[in-house]
Amino acid sequence: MVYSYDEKKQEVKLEKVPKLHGRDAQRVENADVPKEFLKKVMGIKLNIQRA
Amino acid sequence: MQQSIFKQLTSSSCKKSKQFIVDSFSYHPTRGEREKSILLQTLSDASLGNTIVTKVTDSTKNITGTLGLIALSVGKLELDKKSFPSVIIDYLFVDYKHRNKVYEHLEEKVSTSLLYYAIQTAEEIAKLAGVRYLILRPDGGKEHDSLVSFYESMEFKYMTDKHEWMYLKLT
Repeated sequence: MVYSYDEKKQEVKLEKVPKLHGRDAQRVENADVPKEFLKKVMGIKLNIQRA
Repeated sequence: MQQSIFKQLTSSSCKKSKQFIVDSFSYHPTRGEREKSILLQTLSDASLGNTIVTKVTDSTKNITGTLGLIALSVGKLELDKKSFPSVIIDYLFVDYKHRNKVYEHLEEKVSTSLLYYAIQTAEEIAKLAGVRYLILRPDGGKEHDSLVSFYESMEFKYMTDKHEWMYLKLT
């Protein structure tokens, strides 16, 4: 649930994930996975305490 | 290992303490009301279990209090009527006192550490549940240059020219 903020009304507004079509959809679907970057991030040891 | 500790907040602690959590932070001098309102709404969602909030603190206690937090949920990205499960960064917040600061013992900016956490979490979920993307919408939109540059440096790309949403493909 992602929100923005309406400065005039001074209230939060729900932002829906867009639905993509055509070339936009194909570009996102066929995008490359940044494998080297993900490998680097996955190699960082984080101290995570799950609930 | 980084000296930051990432700790999930339970839905009940978000419910009981949301105002306390909001009041415990310092905010941007002009964008403060915006930040507080979105954070309060995010904690309300967390109290219902609709998003999971994780806070980051300094394990060495050189810096006290919560440095920032991140809220993650799962949704779907629709591409030509096909549905792709995705992890959504609902909100990434860093206490104003700690923004754009690199503390030597923490190695990274707080925002960078929180994004590393989000990427690692999304990758773990992707391996278990077929999630394909990590998506977000930078608060303030494309005009918020420094924020957009930050996400682009972490390999996020805009979905389209007209939308504010960005994605990182995971698999």
